[in-house]
Amino acid sequence: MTAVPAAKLRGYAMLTAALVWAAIVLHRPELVAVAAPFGVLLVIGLAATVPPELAVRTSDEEIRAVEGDTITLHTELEAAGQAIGRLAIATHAPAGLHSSTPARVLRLSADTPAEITTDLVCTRWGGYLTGGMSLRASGPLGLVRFEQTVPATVRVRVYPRPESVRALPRPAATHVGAGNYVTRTRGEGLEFADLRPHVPGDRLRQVNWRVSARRGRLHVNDYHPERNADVVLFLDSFTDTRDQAGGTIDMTVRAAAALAAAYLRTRDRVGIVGFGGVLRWVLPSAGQTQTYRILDSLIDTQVVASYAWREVAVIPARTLPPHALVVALTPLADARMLTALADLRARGIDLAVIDVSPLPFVGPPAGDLGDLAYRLWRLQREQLGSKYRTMGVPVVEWLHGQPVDEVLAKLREVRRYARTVRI
Amino acid sequence: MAAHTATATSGRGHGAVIVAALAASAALAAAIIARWEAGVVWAIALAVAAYAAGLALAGGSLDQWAPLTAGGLFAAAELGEWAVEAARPAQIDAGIVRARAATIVALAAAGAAAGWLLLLASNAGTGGLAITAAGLAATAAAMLLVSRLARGAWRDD
Repeated sequence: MTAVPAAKLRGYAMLTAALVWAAIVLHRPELVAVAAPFGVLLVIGLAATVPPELAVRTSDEEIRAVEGDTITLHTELEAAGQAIGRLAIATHAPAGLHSSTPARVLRLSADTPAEITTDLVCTRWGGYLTGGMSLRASGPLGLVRFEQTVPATVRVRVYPRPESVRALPRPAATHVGAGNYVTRTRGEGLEFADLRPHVPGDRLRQVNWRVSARRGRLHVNDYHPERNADVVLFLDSFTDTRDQAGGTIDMTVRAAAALAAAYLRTRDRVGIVGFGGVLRWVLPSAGQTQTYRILDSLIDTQVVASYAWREVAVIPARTLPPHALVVALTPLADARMLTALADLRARGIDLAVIDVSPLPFVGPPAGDLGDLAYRLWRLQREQLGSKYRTMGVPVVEWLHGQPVDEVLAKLREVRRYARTVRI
Repeated sequence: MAAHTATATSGRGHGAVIVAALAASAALAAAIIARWEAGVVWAIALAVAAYAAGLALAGGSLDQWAPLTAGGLFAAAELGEWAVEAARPAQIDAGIVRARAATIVALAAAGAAAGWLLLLASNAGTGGLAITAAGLAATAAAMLLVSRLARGAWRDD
């Protein structure tokens, strides 16, 4: 621990010296009497001060939580050899974790471990290092303070809070694997499609005996097979427009987490591409493990400022399988993302865009010129949406505070009536 | 303390001493409000200076209340420092508060008692150059002792 003199040590020493010298010069012994308590404190306090030895042990190394959860950190403190009369403990909480436990001042007995708990409220998704604290032990009479900083070693992964999603945009093309989408083709399945005359090779269990008896020859039932699909979530991490209430990147990550979980529940293969200053991706796959892979990837999403031009060519080919539905979540603010979306559409990829609107986070600047610029910007955004619709890409605007389920329902509706065009 | 300083003085400069004593009280309050720990010590130093000036201007007999004044000034300084610390929100163990209050009272009492003994010794003394020289030497020795103890407290492990 580092020894730091308290303000009163120098102050009392100077005061005592000045009083004693003044007493001699002025021939007033009362001044020595005034100096006495301060002198007594200095002598006793300094003689009794011994640098303390403090051992700090943190029990948790990694904690996983969901936004809004309260996590508890356990720390064990032990004073070796001598007791510490006053130990002030202040926990450092990174932005995104709010400490609901105030600083504490306690007494530590010698060689007796004391456990302290710190409650942290997870206010924002992300990966954090926490558990750091400032310890300040006061000497017996507070003349010297011993300070120690405990580094943050506890890893906390806060996942976005789950949002309910009922209606998902349906992919235009399905995959060969079994899933939840009833396809138009005929094959093995549960959904009845049609009747047809029996041909060699048809299985006996497919025979519809009632119809066969009525028509006098064997007929079999045809079914629509249930298939799964590939879905890629394409996240724009070039820009983040935010205010106190949140930001576009927060909305993007929360929606992506909800979409990924919902598609994985329907046995689709889901992948993710974080397209921004840093390119991140998770190859499409299915299953519960993929949910955690995607969530782990999402909480590392952040805006990294970069002026380098990026095209879809930099994305590994396997992350965008043929016939995959690509759901882009973007505030439509960066030219690189706009070009990438146009490029994806030009390659014939089934694309749907959720426009994570930055408008609720940006007010019009003051003055007529600012107001004009704001209106022009809004017009430009509307024109962009119109351009994508012309290309056959459904674009749905998502405003802050609107439930993601409502936006997805709208997207599903738009896709139902939109025609896929070849350009 | 300001009131005692005001009553202990008389004659020329009486007004200035009262103003200084009041300024010390205001400075102490301001330092506590501003959470300035060093300011508390400066405010006490100003109060002590006002008291010393008052004694010098008054002249005459010994102030028998000096040990109580010392204890009061000391308690004011310690309570001021405590108030500055308490302004930071913290969850404090009840035992610590009791122990600290008891320490302040005990030290103030011990300091006042020591001051009273010193005053008794000064009454018994006959004065002269030898006594003054011994006083100076004792002061220097005390300063050396304090600095040596402070160096010892500084050692880091």
